[in-house]
Amino acid sequence: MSNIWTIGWNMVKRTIGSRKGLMLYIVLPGIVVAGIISITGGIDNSSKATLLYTNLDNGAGGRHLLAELRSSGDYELAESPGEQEMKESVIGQDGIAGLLIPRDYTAQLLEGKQPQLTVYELKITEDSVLLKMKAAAIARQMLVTAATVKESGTGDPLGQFAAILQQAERHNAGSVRTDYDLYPRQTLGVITGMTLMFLMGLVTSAVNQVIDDRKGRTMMRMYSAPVRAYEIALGNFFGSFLVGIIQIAVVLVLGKWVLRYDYEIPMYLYFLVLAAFMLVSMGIAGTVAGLIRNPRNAGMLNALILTPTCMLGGCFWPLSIMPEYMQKAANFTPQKWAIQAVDIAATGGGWNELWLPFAVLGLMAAILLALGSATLRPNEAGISA
Amino acid sequence: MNIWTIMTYELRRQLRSRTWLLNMILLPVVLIFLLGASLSGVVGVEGAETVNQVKVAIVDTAAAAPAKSAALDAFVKSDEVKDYISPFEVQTREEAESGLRTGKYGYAVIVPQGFDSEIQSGGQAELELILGKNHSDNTTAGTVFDNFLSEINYKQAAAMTLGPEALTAAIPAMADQPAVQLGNLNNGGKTYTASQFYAASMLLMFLLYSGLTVTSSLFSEKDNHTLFRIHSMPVKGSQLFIGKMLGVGVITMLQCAAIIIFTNLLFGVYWGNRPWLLILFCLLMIIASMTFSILVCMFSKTSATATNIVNIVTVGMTFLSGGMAPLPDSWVNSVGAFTINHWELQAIIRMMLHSGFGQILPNLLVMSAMCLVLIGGVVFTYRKVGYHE
Repeated sequence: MSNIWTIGWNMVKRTIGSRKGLMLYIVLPGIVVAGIISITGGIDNSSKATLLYTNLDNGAGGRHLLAELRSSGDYELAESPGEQEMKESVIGQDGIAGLLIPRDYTAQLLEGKQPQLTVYELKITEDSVLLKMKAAAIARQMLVTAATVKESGTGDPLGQFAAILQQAERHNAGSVRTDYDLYPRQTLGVITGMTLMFLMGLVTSAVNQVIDDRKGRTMMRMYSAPVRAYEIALGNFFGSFLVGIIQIAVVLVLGKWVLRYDYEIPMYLYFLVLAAFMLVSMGIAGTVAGLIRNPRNAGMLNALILTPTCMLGGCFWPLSIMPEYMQKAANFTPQKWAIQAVDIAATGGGWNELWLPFAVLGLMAAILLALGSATLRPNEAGISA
Repeated sequence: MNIWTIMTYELRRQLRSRTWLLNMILLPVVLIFLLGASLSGVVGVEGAETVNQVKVAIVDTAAAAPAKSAALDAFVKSDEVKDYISPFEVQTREEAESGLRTGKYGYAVIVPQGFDSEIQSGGQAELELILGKNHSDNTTAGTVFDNFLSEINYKQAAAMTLGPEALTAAIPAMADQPAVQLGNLNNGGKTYTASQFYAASMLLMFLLYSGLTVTSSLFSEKDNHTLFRIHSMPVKGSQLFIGKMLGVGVITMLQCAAIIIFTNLLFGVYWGNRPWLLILFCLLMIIASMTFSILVCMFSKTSATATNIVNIVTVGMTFLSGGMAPLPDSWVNSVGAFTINHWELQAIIRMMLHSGFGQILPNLLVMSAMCLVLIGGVVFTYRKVGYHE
């Protein structure tokens, strides 16, 4: 037992014992994740999304549409002088989307035609999809109203149309939304995803040390000491795990108590999820390192696994936007389960639901770690190409 | 001559190893497939979208039948919303709230007393909507009830202005075409789809990751102690260094070309009308990522350190340029402007959209300047630090 502890502790000291190691493995990740948290966390409460618009219509319809969008409180409206300028601003990512109200929009509505609004978007985001839905709903109502005005056929249609829209803007039939904060915030998923991706990258460096040991024939020398193979393996495993735990703890403490980001779930649960995920990534890194005979390529190959699994596991975009079969495939990535566990915990789910993602993560970790320690074969020196 | 020998050897060595072949062919293809497959659904989001039915608890605070809202009752049972919500009548507000907390219901609506009569007499009435546990369920149900309310709202407004008989005369206008169309950002040429944005941002991230090749190439020689032996040959240090970097550069260019060609052929990603400019920008990106990695390698003692830094910078820059998760607009154009990705991404997207050369020129200048600074940095540090063991 003491041998294991010695080897493990030595690993910790080697990684984060020096000032440089401390900077690289503890401070830097902490800062990066904290940066991600403060940027994405800021989306929630700070600025509204900017919506660019160009109104070529000079009637009541265009004015009403913009007034309704403004009163929805979701957008900061910014006018562009013309269609071309608006397109350019959309491409320059000055706003989430651009809305073009065509010339004579109101007049066409009243003639019984169906003029179309145009929405420009650079990338599909939830905001831009919602904007399209909202604009379409208002436009449809205006269409119906215009038809009603036309049908009644008395008096001045333009004036009546404007009067109806003005009346509608008072929102006599309205709604109040009561928000008990039951749902997890959108940004929690993003933050968790980025943290997972980051952790996975960090674990690689811990496994690299084991490879370095093997390559530098340090392993061989270790065998001349009175330690057993399993003690070396366990010691290395223990050391990497300890480093990872410290990294997670620093990141969480920074996010929770320094940046005051509200994770919405108990910290110990978040910690457990990340720790479980780290075990799995250690298994993956170990297995890969074992399979690759040239140790220098191990790091590169990890990138080959890291980016695709993060994409598939929903670190970059919500799983729900992917096609069905891709969502099924996502079940094979640990990221998906970690994010799911966080989601369940954030919505107040207890262990009766949480056991599943944890069980899957645990199983993955067990299999991969076994596979990793079997293939890593620390007693062989690496053959370098 | 020496440079050529070293470069071809570097190329041959990398190509011969199985891992490298994996990396060169598998990684791009996997990334492209994932991107294409997962985001193809996004592109067709207006089409056949499967929405989960949201269970909505409806609490009518009016006790007896005549005071209950018939309009809402008819609406929630109508065909047009039955794909989105399934209504459940609940007696009390407390019951609905506890149902929301346990996840029994996804959304709750509290109907005030005399909702219908208020509306008909032109007064004000408010529904109370209580948000549930699931973000997308909240959005779906919220939209459904917002539409219901806005319809009432417009009808009431019409009745108040034109008189109640106007409503009975009104024929519901059938919308033949969607009221909102997706505009084409393009200035001629093919239609732009949002998946192009992610294809471009992932290509750039991949090119940044290729800096890892540099670290592995530079450190393998040191770690294997073969650098000593090479230095005993009639080869200058600079020749060795340039040769190695050329080899790595060629490999990265091949990978980049593979990604662009495969995405084009397999997933129809359109990369714009200026192939030469696209090549130029990719080259600049490769130069930037390689020179950056070289700098990192020169300043770090072990390959683990170097790999770590390259990893962090890659993810950080892709994120800050808005290539992954949506960022607030203010960030993209302020902090994002300090990343290489920002300038590259904008340029590639402008090429995809057939913008004029004048609009791409600033990006080209900025990228060239960044590359010059980085190359200058490499030359300077190479003179100081060199490439020894």
